[in-house]
Amino acid sequence: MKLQNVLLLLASYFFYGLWDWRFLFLILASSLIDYIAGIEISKSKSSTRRKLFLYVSILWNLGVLFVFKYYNFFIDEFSALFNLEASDYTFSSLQIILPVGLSFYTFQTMSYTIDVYRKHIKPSHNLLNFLCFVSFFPQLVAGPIERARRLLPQFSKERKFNISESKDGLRLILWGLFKKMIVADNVAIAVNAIYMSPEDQGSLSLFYASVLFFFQIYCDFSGYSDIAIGSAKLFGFKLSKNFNIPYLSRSTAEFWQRWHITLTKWFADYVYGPLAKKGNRGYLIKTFALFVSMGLIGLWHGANWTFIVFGIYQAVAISIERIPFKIKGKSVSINYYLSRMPLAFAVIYSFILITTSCIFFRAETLESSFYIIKKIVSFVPSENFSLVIGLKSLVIPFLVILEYFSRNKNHPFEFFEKKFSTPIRWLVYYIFIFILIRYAGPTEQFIYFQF
Amino acid sequence: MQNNFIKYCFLFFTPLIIGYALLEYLTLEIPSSFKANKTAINLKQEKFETLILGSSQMMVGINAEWIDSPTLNLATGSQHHNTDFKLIKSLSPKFKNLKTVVLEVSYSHFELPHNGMKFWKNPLYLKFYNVNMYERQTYFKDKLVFLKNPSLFLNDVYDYYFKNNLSYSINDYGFNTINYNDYFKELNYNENEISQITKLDINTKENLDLFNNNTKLFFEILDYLEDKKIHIIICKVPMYKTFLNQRNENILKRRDSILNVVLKKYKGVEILDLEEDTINFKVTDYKNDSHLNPDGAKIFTQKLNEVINNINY
Repeated sequence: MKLQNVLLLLASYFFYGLWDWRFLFLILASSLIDYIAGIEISKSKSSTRRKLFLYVSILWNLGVLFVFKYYNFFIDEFSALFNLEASDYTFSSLQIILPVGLSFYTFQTMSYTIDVYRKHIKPSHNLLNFLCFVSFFPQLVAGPIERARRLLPQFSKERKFNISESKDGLRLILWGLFKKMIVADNVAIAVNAIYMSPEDQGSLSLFYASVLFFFQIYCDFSGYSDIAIGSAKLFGFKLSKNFNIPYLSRSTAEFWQRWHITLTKWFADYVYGPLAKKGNRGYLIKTFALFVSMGLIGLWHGANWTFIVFGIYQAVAISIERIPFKIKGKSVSINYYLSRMPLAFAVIYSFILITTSCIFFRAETLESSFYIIKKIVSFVPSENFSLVIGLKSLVIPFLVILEYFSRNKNHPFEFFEKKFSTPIRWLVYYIFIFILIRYAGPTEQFIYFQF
Repeated sequence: MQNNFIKYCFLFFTPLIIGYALLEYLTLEIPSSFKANKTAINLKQEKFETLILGSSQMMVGINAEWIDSPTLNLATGSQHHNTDFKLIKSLSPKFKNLKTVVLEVSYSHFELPHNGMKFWKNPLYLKFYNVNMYERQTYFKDKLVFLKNPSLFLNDVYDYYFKNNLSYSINDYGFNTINYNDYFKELNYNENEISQITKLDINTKENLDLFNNNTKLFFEILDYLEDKKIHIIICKVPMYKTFLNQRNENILKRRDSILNVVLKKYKGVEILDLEEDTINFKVTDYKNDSHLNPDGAKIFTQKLNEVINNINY
């Protein structure tokens, strides 16, 4: 087992070092600080000392995030707010790059120390295992954000080869590649073309691009998650499911139970939960907790007002869906009706809401987002709509059909496993590989790498 | 169990690897400008007096066969000045007799992005000319041509090996001598119908950052060639009037102002400006609004040949 973990650690550090070896020191520092903090929190009898080490860990992780991800944003906003010139203040913008996957691994390690503090888990006394937990390469750069209680124990056990898990891992990787290379990258062509010059586009084209963008980020990010989960399976690890066909959500709240599930759970456990539990847990307190959580989820995505508004927008939608009112003496909410109406209607409702929020996610600035929304609702004719459709975007209905009919499985290939013999399955896999080679879109970096 | 898995992986992936190797081989065997140029470089690199660079306009517009001095045309579709410069720096030391370099400056050359590290032709430069465009150490995968543009090469493989009516015939100078097929021919060179076509591939977006960056590199190329005492000819390739009418005036003015500066600063530079020549070039000399066909290429090459002869002798 020790040898397995040494190999994994070397592979993980090599993988990350290929991008930029200098940031290996940052991961190592984060790992060591949280490792020591975990042990000290567990060892300490005094609550002050326990808190001290918790704060050290949290301050370090948030500090690293702040410096690398948010410092320039806050400095720029501060100077814009007070109309300051660069020479008026001591702090100036930093010329630094954002380490890949920073938001993912800092959140993972932060949850570890918080869970140790809450006594939900025991601290790791094995440095090698802990270093592997922080840097495990399949999920290091874009999640899923794992909890220590789920992932860390897996490093303590010797992994045995499991043929069915390995086969399933390969199938999941193939499915993830299909989503990324065929759907996301091809759809990106039409999205980029339309969003490059929104002023030249009509309402229909802009709305169409926003719908496509939803599928682009979904397939881009869930494709990566599938590849990560599949790769982990090859090594005998089980990672958490990160997506569950989010476009089939009946409400905005349900959307967040199906989209980036590990991030939503993280904020539910460490931000929303503690805030909402204070007070009488009434609607107002919960709504306040919701706005804080969703605002932070937005900010987690990037240092830009567009992401913050993206989060707040979701909070507004969820809070409206939750407003309690009485009908015939019975306390209900919009959610109650959404859960009872025909699936198609509820899906259309939530899909329109989510698609609109994607405009904030995709646009460069808030002004541009509002301009696009205004243009969509102004019903400006799209004269060249036929030119921007992008035939390859027609792969989306294919994806939806496959996912819908295999919605009770982990991925569509699991469906084939039960139904068809080996030669037929292999033929299907060969066809998918051929499609990957022949119809892959232009190489686009994974969108979530930037977070 | 483990052995079974490895056995099945081997059985599953072997046909894929063999299939890929076959496609790579078939792709490399298809006649192309790159292949013809590689042969020419191997055979007579010390004889070349003129080196032609540029994009598809130069590739289809110049047949080196009709130039009196030994000439190599390395122009290819989408090739920008940064790639031209790397080709010059890598290959010119091998061309001991090189006297003239012909560069292209199209209407929007200065406001289009340079070729990036991901340019799909980079493996071709490495494979055929042994010129590294990656700006880093290269690996085995960097030479794999098919993988960089599978959809295009699959069509090429199908056309060449399975279809009989090929639309190209590459001569020893890398020039396609039957390169007529496009919408001008489809419309029977009917100028009225051609003028109705609105879908032109023309850049009208102004970009001052790119302009500054691109002109800087362009002057570096000229300085480099001047240092090496190599003559420079800058070509403005003929364009059909539908293209000329759609140009952005600001981009055009900026391009021409740079060329005026070039003429003042560099004594040995010649500009062959046939961009708006509607007298020598008729509709039947074009394959589309921005590319000459072999008939037009013959006229353009002869004009270029005159300029080269005037410089060299």
